[in-house]
Amino acid sequence: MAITPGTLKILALRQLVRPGPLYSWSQSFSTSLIHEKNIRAGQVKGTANKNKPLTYEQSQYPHLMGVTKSWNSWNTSNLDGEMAFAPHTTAEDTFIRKFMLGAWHDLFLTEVIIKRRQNMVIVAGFVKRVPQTRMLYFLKGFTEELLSHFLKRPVTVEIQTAGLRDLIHKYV
Amino acid sequence: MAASIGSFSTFSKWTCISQLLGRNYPIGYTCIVRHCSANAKENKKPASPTPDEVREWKKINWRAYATGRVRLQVPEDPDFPVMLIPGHSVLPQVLEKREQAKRPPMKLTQPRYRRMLPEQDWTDVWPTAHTFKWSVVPFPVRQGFVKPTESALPREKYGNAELMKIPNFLHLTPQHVQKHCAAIKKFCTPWPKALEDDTVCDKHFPLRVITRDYVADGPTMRDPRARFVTIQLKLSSLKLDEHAKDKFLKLVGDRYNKETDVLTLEADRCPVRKQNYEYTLYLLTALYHESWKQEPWEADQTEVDMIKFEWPLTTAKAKVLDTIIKIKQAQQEKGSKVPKILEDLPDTSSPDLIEKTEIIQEYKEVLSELYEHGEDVHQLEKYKNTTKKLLIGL
Amino acid sequence: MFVLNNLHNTALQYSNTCMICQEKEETDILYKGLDLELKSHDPRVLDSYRKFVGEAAKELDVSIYHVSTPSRIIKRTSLLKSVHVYKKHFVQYESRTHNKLIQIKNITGSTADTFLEYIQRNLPEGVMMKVTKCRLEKIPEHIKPPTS
Repeated sequence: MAITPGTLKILALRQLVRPGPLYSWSQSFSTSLIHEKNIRAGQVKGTANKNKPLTYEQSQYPHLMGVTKSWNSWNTSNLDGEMAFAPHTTAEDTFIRKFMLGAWHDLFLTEVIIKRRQNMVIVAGFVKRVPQTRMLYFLKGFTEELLSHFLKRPVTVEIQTAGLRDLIHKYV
Repeated sequence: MAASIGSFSTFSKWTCISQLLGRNYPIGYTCIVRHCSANAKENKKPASPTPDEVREWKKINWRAYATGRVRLQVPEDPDFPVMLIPGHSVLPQVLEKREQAKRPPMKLTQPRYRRMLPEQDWTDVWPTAHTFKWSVVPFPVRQGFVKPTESALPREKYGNAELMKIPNFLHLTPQHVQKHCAAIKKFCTPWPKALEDDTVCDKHFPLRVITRDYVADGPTMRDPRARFVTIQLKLSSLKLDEHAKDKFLKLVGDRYNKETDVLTLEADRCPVRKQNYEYTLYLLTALYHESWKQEPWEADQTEVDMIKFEWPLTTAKAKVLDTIIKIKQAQQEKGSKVPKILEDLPDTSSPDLIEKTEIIQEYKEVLSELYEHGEDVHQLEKYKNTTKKLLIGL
Repeated sequence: MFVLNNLHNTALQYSNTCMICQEKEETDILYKGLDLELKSHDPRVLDSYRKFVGEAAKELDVSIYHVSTPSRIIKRTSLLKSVHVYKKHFVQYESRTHNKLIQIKNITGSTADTFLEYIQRNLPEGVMMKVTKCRLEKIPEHIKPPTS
């Protein structure tokens, strides 16, 4: 591809729409993709000792959403033509996650999974194996009662317990 | 150890003690309980590793070491016994007591699927929709991405959040569906056999009412799009005479499809579906009765107002008759040649008489076909031949 | 649940009043066709749900006339990567909506209500349904030629 001022303009414009590596137009350069892509959002930084544990979903990059990773919140608000309640649902999700963070302090091992079926809300996830099982039962009832009152819809909590070690997928 | 290094940053008294208590053994400290134990058996332990061996082991097993799963036992040296710092170190007897008083490790019961029999009723095990429970699902499932270069398998069902996220259909197996449908079958009615034929349906039920329902999750179950109502019916099912039909089509305009003979009326102006349905019926009624009425100004219609090709009002009729009269006049006055067809006509024939002749009727039919069905090679050919016949006689 | 007590009381009240009024006989509605348009972000979920609908239809004698998969819709947005300046660097997001169309022919109102309620109660999370009902009716009696 002949490099003229015109082509450079086109490439600059292309960069606006499709940010990507510049090596595609110049054969003399051999820049790698890793250096060109400056996306660190959602990508956990590795340690020198490689002793930082990550769960499976933390180890998958955000661009793999829908590919090797699934969404934490399942609802119909973002479907094509159904965007009327998207902000409402997102706000509700944020509220539920904050609530779970506070009520189930330091107990959740994975992200809180929120599912919506008709007017029901199901909150799920993996919880630490704590010797006080009564506490977990109490928290389940407490969460269901309060969230149903706040959201004005039936809320169910479906948690499972696991060991912290068992959820670790890899170390970075 | 990584964990202990982190906690030392706070430098509180309590964190230091917790390190010494042995939850996270810091390097360099022995297991105090073992050292002071009076049990002869415990003293007969295998040779402790040398510092070099320790270093070597750490290099190979750095990952396990980093997670804190393994606690190293630093070899005891009789020349350098462990120093008990007054006020900081806990007495060995007290430590031993605490160790004994410690809760035994949590015993986990066997997962439920291990006690399941193949003959069990799955509908009782998983009656309603529930997030994936690894301990209840009896078959092996794996979910997770593994790079092709790695030799590992995808993640198993235990501790798999991905399997929890995805909707599962374990509550809708064929057995479930059979059970549910057997219970609700009594509310279903069969379709009348006589109405299986579409033509019979159209004959007895010509009106079609189309409504839409929306099911999605959200704070309300109501959807404003559900108020739309569409009504469809074939015009042939309505009793209309020629004038009424013509007027009806003029009133309705684009809502009528000529090819399928279907009239479509839509309504969305009211907030409730029932109201929109009643409005469409009102529209239909009004259109129907208005089209039967004959207003005095309708008599002033010209060719421009017509939808169909109306021969009596066309300029074509007037022109062709006028042409023939002129030809006849020319024949009379100048004695010019006239096509054979026109020769047979009497000299002083009125336009009405001329109109009734075969050739004019043929011309009228060809022209109306051209207007109704559009221009086509064959149609134009026909028109050309008829015109030639009329004017030249060929 | 805290609402259960209230529901129980109202249910009792209702049952008492129903004893007094008689049930009206209603003619069954006739539906020429039902179109179920399903939408989801995951096509596999739609496939599994379609299988379930097929089985339920078989059990309830509902004739599925045609099943098709309309093409998916992908919506992409390009947003600025940085909070402030850096106009040359964008980040792109996309949203995919997969569709499924199940067409049912010749179904009565009672069957349709039962079938649809069963299907809709078991609609999985993240799946949306649009039901287009085409019902058959007679032309209203007042639409007849004038007597004069």
